Amino acid sequence: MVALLSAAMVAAATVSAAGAFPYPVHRRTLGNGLEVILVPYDSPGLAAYFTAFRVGSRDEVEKGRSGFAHFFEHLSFRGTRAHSGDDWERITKSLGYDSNAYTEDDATVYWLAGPTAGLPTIIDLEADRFMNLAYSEDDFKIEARAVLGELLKDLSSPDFKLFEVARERAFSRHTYRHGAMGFERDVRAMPSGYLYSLELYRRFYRPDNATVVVVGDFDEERTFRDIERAFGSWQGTGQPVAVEPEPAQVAERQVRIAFPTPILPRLYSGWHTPGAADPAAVAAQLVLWPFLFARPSALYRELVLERHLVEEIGGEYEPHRDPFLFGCELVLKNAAAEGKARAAVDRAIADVAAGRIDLRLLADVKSNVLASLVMETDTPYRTGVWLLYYRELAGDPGYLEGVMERVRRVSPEDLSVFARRWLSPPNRTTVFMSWEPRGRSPRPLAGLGGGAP
Amino acid sequence: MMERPLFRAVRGAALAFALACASGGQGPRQQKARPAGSPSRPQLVSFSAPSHATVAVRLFFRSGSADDPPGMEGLTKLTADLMAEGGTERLSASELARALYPMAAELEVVVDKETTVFAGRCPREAVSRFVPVLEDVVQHPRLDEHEFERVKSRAVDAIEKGLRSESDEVLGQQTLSLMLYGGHPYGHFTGGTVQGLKRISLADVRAHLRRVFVASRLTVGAAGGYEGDFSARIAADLHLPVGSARPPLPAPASSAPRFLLVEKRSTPTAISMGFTWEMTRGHPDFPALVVAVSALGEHRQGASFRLFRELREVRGLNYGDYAYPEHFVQASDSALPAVNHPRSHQEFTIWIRPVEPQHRLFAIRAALYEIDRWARDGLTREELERVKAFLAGYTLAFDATDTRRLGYAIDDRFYGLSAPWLSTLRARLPSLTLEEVNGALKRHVDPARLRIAVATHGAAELAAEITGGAASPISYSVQKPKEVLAADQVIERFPLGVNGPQDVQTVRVEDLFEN
Repeated sequence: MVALLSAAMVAAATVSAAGAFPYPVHRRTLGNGLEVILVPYDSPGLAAYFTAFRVGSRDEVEKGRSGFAHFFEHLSFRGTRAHSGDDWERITKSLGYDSNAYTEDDATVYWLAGPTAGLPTIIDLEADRFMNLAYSEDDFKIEARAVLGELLKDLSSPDFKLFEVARERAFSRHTYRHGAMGFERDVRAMPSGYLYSLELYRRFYRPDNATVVVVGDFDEERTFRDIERAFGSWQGTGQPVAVEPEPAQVAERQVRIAFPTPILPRLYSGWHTPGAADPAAVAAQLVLWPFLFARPSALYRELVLERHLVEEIGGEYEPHRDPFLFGCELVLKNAAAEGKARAAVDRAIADVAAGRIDLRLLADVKSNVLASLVMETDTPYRTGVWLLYYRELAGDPGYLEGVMERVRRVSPEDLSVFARRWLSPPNRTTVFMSWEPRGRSPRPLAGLGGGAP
Repeated sequence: MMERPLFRAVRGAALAFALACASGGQGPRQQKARPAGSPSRPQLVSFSAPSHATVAVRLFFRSGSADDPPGMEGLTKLTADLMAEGGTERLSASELARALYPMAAELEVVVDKETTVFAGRCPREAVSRFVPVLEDVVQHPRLDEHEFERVKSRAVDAIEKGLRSESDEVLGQQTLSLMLYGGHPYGHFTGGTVQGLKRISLADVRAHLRRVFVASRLTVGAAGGYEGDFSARIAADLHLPVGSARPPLPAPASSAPRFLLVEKRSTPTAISMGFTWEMTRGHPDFPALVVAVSALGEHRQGASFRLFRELREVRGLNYGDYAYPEHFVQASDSALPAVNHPRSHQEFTIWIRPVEPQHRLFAIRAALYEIDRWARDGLTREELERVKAFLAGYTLAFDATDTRRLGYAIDDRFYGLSAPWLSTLRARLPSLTLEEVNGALKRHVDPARLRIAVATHGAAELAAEITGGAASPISYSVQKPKEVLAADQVIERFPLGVNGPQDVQTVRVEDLFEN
């Protein structure tokens, strides 16, 4: 049986060398294009199992359909002819598995974590789920309400609102102008999109657009054979969509918005920067973000610890498949702090651009980025999340290792060049948000020409 | 500078590990938690696993917001935050952040009602640099005026501009906590009250530190990539005042009305409900109740569990619905329960995630209907076996990391358990019978005791609907099975447990957490 299957499939094994990523990565590809990544991990009796698809909110190119990749993630729990959604839940829970899924801008990931003994059943269930998904229009409409419920829980968050507005303002063409949840108006219109959901399944839920990852304590050969047997008959090819590139931004964009309940004012600043196709730029941003904004940075010391102008600096650099935003969120102590905080950010960036770089801090940041890989891969689940995030950026599980290798080599000059090239005012979008009791727009800061969106 | 023996020993451990790897490696040599110490000395817990890549250290004090003096609510958390962030005698706040950063070391402080834990973790190679910093944070905090003002101002903002505004769900949960523990030492928000925080001076912080962060309340725990009894070495390094234990706390006795409706300008409606009970991990009925409550609504585990299935999956009311047999805080890196939030007085709670305002009363009734059926009829045999099987596997992840293993062992000490809680639960699961589980349910769950907190816009209108007993029908845009529609007819008029206006109070959000 194994020999027969093997003849029908090309199983090219790749074993990564030890590097920054702390665990071996064993990669194979089935004949239908499904990539299988097996990561042995010291977690006695436990494993995490992932099925990832290279589809996210980035791929929602049709107008009015933002949020559908995430919506589809929900629908994937509605079952098949062989296993209803209830059946899937009953079996996986009877095996003692924790399970969930998440949708990002560039990928959708389904995961289960639990006793290794249940892996063969999990593999069969997941193969059936993605190869034979079947849900009725009624199920579809019920699930649309659950998605609305998920959005409702986010709506009271000022940080959620701030970033949603920032994206919509910063991007005019590219689908990154909305997040994974989608625009509220599109979420409320989701019940009308049944046929579109089927189209999304046809386009993206295909073996050559999918990756199965297993991390943990398991028999590699047996697990691979189980995956090969369960997924081997899956046919079809994915149909990537053309995402309109974002034109270069030529003038600074500024927005001032009101929030309906009392909050500390927020100031978001984001610059368009390169995506995963430029791994050197990704490495530079992984270093530059904490260098500029994290707790040991000069800016944090000045604004938060010394001058008490800012309560916290939020955000982080999140690499994206396409050019995205390099941004930070300042939670201001009060609206009067805005001007001084803006000026301090400008000075910090100008220092980097001019080559005035604290070399010890640079070394500390690089050390932190690399050590974080060890700290944040302390369970099979967290290890899989890390691996898949970078794998989906470039379609290559070796991408993470390559970027980390570049992190080691980031020089002061690299940061300066990057700051001069990308962190300029014309390339920036800022959003200021504050509580306005009567729902007015916040007043413009003197000297700034920012208008309402 | 002379190197302290403790860290020479650690470096020796690292060398021993390297040699072991060179000769083919060795598995983790995990030892059982080794209780030690006397009431006036720190308690010790240690799990050595030399091959592990990181080391977790937890300095756990039996001091929490219940120790806040009246009128200074928030003092324990403010003190702990200032210790963890404000620098040490040797390092300013900024230097402290710089010192930890290259190691990617984690140092956070978590304050609960009765406990505070300084939780540290770092790569194995960094432990000799990290642990002295952690020790200094606890025994030589800087406590300067500038940092005090920053942290105190932030604590006030966290209430005025955060808790009241930024998350309907957290607001609902914290309102429920006020209802359940009014008049009890648990009865104020752990982060304090606005006026309580404003009264606190730096001198108050200094005095409080000497009173509550003391040796007699401390448990030192270590787990992960080291050899030997690391926790004992840390304890020997710490020279804290002996101090004294807090006297036991009385049982809470809530006098809150059935409903507390918080008026907040907000699109969705958040609902939390619950009651206090004296069920803790040491109680013989607790394993049965864990199973029963799991069947009602295991945290973030989907449609195999009743509330989630009936409210979200069948009726599309919201994103999720869960039930908890003890105070629950979600871990920061997973949906698992966070460790080190033990309490000597516990609670049974329900979390209904935000619903659209037009469905708020139906959602409350739907939850009450399900809780009533569950408490009255109990679990089915099939359901019992499924939940037992789930918990047998799921709970394996509860202590699968060094941090979690350590956390559970420390909590076992808090509860005074002779055997580890997770081992007890796992051993008990196979033999639990339907009669035992449903019997425990009937003995300990009385839905009439539920208190219900609702954060919503239009609280006065909702209060009128509740006291008036009006029906709350729901309609759907899709065909529903007959049995669902039949249940809906019961739900839309399901009794809310209200006998008059005195059972429904409304409050403006700006009046909560003030005093």
